[in-house]
This record gives sequence, C-alpha cells and structure tokens, in this order.
Amino acid sequence: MSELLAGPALLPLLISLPLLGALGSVLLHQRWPVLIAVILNLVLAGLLLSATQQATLRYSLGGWVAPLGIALHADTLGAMMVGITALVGVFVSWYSLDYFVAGSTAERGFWPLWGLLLTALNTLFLSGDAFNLYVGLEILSLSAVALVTLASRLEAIQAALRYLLVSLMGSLCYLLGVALLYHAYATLDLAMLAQLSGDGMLERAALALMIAGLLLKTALFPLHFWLPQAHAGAPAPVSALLSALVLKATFYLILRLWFDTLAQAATQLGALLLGLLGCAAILWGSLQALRAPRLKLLVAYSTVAQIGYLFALFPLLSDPRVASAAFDSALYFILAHACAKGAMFLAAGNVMTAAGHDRIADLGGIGAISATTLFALAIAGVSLIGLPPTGGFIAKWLLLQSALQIGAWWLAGVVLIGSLLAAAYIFRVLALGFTIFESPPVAAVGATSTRTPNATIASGRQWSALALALAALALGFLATPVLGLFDAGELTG
Amino acid sequence: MNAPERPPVMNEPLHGVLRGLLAIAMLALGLILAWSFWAQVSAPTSLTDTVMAELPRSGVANPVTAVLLNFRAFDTMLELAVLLLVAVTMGVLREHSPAPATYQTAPLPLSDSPLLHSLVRDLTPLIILIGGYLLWIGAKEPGGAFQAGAVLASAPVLAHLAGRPWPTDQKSSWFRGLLVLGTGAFLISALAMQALTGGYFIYPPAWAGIWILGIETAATLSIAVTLYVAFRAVMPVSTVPT
Repeated sequence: MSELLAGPALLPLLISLPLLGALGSVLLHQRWPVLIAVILNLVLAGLLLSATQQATLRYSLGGWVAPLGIALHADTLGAMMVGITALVGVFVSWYSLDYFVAGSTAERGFWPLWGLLLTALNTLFLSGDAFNLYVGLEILSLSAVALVTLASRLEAIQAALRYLLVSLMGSLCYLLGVALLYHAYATLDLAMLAQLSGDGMLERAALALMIAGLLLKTALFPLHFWLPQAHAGAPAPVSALLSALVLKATFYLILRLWFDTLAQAATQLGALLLGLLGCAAILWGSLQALRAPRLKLLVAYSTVAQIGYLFALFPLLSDPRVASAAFDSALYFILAHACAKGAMFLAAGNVMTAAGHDRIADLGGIGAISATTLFALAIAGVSLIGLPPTGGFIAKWLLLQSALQIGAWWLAGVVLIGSLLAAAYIFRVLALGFTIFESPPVAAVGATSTRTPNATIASGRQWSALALALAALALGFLATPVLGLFDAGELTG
Repeated sequence: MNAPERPPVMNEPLHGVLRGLLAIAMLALGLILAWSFWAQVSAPTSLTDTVMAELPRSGVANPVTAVLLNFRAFDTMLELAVLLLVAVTMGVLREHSPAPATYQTAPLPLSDSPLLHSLVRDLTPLIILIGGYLLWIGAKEPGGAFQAGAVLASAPVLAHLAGRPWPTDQKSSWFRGLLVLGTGAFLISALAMQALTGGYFIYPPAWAGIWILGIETAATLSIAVTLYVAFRAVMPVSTVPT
C-alpha cells in the first residue's frame, strides 16, 4: 500500500479519484462523493509533490509502453499545478456547499460537473500523450461550458454557447497539430516527440496550430473576446474555477509544448510575438476593468490582464540568461493568481448575493454588509496589484528583475503601467467598502434592507473566500520554500 | 465588445469583400499546411506494425478493438466520461428551460395506426439482436460498443416517434445507473486490475478477452441510453406521459 501512495501509481489514482467521485455523484444524486474526492485529491497532491522531489515519475498505463500505450508523467511543475488545483478546489467546494440551493437543478448539476472538471485538470497536468491531452481538453471545455450554463440566465447561456464554439475551434486546431506530428513520427508520446522532433516546416506548422488552439482557450488578447461574458455570467464558484484553474491548465500545456516537446521548433520571434500580445493584454484588460460597470465583469477583465503577464514572460523564458528566474516568476504568477482571483470571484459572489446585483455604481457600503468579504477582496486585490507581502509581489518582482537584467526596459515599463492600472481598478472596488450608504439601494426595497441581507451570506462562503485570499498572502511569505519545490531546470534543459 | 447587459449579437452576415479576404487567407493557410505535410522528408510511418505485433497479447483479434479497449483503454474511458458529461448537461439544461415555446406549440402527432405500432413492436427484438451481434463481433471484425450502442438506441427512439415512448425517468436511480455504467465499468476494472495484477488497466492475458467483452457490454448500454437522452432532450415535452 505504501508503494502505491508514493510511487508512479499515484498518477492514475489522481485521475481516477475525481472521476469516481463524479460517477458516484451522478448515481446517488448526492454531493458527498465529489466532496470526499476533492479532499482526498489534496492529500494525493501533497504525496505527489513530495514524490516528485526525488525523481520525475512516469507510469505506462495498461503496461503498454509508448509508442503503443499511453504514459502518464509528472515532474515538479506538473506536481505544483496538481497541488494548486487541489488547494483552490477544496476552498471553492467549501464555498459551493452554501452557494447552491440544496436540491436545486443547479446544485445537482454542479457537483458531478465539478468532479469531471477536476478529472480533466489532473489529466492535462499528468498526461504524457498528445492525443490523451486532446481528450482531456474536450472534457475540460465541455464541463467548463456546462458549468457556465448553470447560471441559467439567457446571457449566461449565450456566453456559454460562444465559449463552446471557441473551445471546439481551439480543440480542432490542437488536434490538427497532433495529426501532423503523428504523420511524421508515428508516436503520440510527448517524451519521444521531444527527442525526435527537429525544427522543420512540419514541426513549426504543428506547433503553430497547437499553440493557436490553446491560445484561444487561454484567452490571450485578442482571442479573449469570449472570456468576459462567460466568466462574469457564470455562478460565482464556477467563475472562480474558470479563472483560477481552467485557463492555467491550457497555459501549462503551452509551456510544455513550447519549451519541452517542440522546443526546437519554437523561435525567438514567436516568443517575442507572444510577449507583445501579453503586453497588449495587460494594458487592454486593465483599461477595460477600469471602466467595467459591474463588479464581476471588472474581475473578469482583470483576468484578461493577468493572463497577459504570463505571456509577457515569454521573451524572458526564451533567454538563457534569465530563463530560470523567469520560470520561477511564471510559476508564481500561476499560483498567486489562482488564489487571488479565486478569492476575488468568491467574494464578488458574496457581494452579489448581499446586494442582489453587482452594479458598481450602486454598491456603496458593502463594508457594512460583510467585513470578512471586504477583507478578502482587499487582500486578493493587493496580490493582484503586486504589492508586498503577497504572492503577486514575488511574481512581479522576479519578472521585473529578469527584464531589467537583459535590458528589456519596454517590458518593465508595461508591467509598471499595468500595476498602476490594477491599483486603480482595485481601489475602485475597495473604495465602495468605505463609502457608507452614499447611494442607498432603490427605495422600493425598503430602508432597512441594506442590513438584513447580512444574515443571508453563510459564514462558510465568507471564510472560504478569505482563506483563499490568505493563501495568496501566505505565498508572499513562503516564497523561498515554495520555489524550492520547483525545479526550473526541467524546462530550461 | 464590453456591453454591460447584453452580449453582442454576431449573426450579421460578413461583408462580401471581407468574406473573399477570409477565403484567401484560409486557402493560404491550407496550402502552407499541405506543403509542410508533403515536404516531410522521412518516409510516412505509422504504428500499424507495432499494433499487429502485440495483437495476440491483447485478448481480441480486431486491431481497432485492441487499440480502443486495451492499448489505449484510458482514452476510451475518458471518451465515455465525455458522453456522461453530455447526458448530465442535457439533464440540467432541460430542467432549467422545460422546452422552447416553438416546440410546445407543435407536438408530435400521436399516431393510432396499428400498423406503425406493430412495426415498432416487431422491429425492437430485431434491433436488440443486431446490437448484440455488433457487440460480439467487435472482438474479431469491425463492430463494437459504439456501433452496437447506436443501433440499440434506435429502439426507444422508434417507440418514441411512434407515440409510445418507453417509461423512462432521468430521476430514477436505475436510469442514472445505466448512464454511469460504461465509464464505471471501465474505471472499476482499471482499479481492480491495479489490485489484481499490480498495474492500472493491465488485464491478465488469459482473461483479457472476457474483461473486454464485459466492459464493452456495459459501455454499449451507457452509449444507447445517452443517445436516447440526447434525443429526448430536443423532443417536445407533450408526447412524454407524466
């Protein structure tokens, strides 16, 4: 049993467990199978993190070695992704316990779909097979789209449909790239492809197709057009999952393909282009967040900007002088944004429940409604701006340091402007907490109604949001031990 | 792009010039892809030889079934999970919005024709027989769970169209049991193999054929039920007895 939980056998378990939870949840119409799976998943993720410290894990499914069979694979980066997914997943599940009305259609749909989403996320982080990744992408996209439809409003359904079409387009581009690679090398195994593939025309075309497909799903500017409506229209815990985890999974695949599997076909010019698009995303997303009329829309546009930072790193990641620090920065952006954005969407959900809407102009006095929620918003916001002592600060610090070291002043400039803009849109939200009934809710609701909703936000919903925000804060203090778990050398070679 | 309340409507037809430019761009992209495809110097290769070499150890004689149910069984399990996902999603969407108004005003005409009913009654055993045959033959010839499931699903669909839908209720536990049966059989046997043979999805070679047939049978039933759920999700409510 001990070797089952320490060695490569962990890999299939990490995918089976959430799937088993989802099946149990469909069969029994209960939420506990998925809840148990989510908690055990955190334990397994911890074991995986400690196991990958010794060696990279590899598991051939069915005993068939590649190229015939499918191999699962975990290095420290994959283990970190599984870990942050498990952590955010636990808090979002805690929040969801009180979010959905017990026995409602949305509640019965949420738990199985969340179990399947977790299955897909773990598959994408652990699979070492290009076609298996495609199947994982399909489950990821379909369950994400289905989760958005749980909001059941017309706008949410429309946004979900657009999300579905964009995701399908992305999947097909990715699949076409896989087909090209299989045609040339007769293998789908990523490790074998990394050894076989060169920098020919075919590899370039395959890489371009796969990256383009994944960029659509990761919503890099200007392919972000589907994101704001989908993320803002979904139920709050779903928005948190989509922004914190789903986008990171496709970004992780882009990192893998670009720097590992098809590293020889990747060019400096391509990295620079991605970097420029990232910079544009930072500026555009922040500006849109500044003028968003609704709170959840603001948070969604902030995600567009934060995704920009991940891609702004690409020119640095491709430069051997600073690659190692840049990878640390990329990892920290992923971790810090997962916690901070998850917390922010959960807190926004509380605000929306308390106020009955999320129009920023009419939200004065949210501090009186829930101090805990406001505190969560504040800490998460500080991390998103990148101020010390949060995880967001570490990520930006590492990014600025590497940019200045190789003289990429333009990049440093964009990051600083982005931080200023982020401060502006975050303070737009926080200022609401300190204005007391400047614009009281509509008179028809009644004079006392601003305080009565206080009781309607369950404490679990407030504490889970705060806990995630505190996790973003803790990442700032724990930078050295956390980065010590990650070996950037796996990708820099 | 960032309209606050209503997402933009994107249904307007593209301008002619724009459409022409788009076509040229797509054509260029296709040509580049075709060129990179053919410019590959190494001889085209495939895994066919490897599959044929390992076929005797797979427990079945049909290479497609061997790939789907043994060599790459993990992919197939996740694909069945996709079907389950679709069924769950349709159940949720259906409950959220009982039926579009256009459907409710135009219910299917209920037929009282004895000919139609006897046709459906006589076809049903035949459909089950063909489904079973396709499932069985999948071990040796083209066939298998997906084909068998599709054929099997036609029985309730025909009954539904003839105005005598099978009494199914997505809330009943046996119906949900059928939905999860396919993925469940896969997952449970993969985990059971881990306990029995020490490896996830490693079938004992002597028993591989039996295990595969069992999993395929479960998958067939799930596929048939999922297809029927998909069919019912777009059908008018009024023909379904309460």
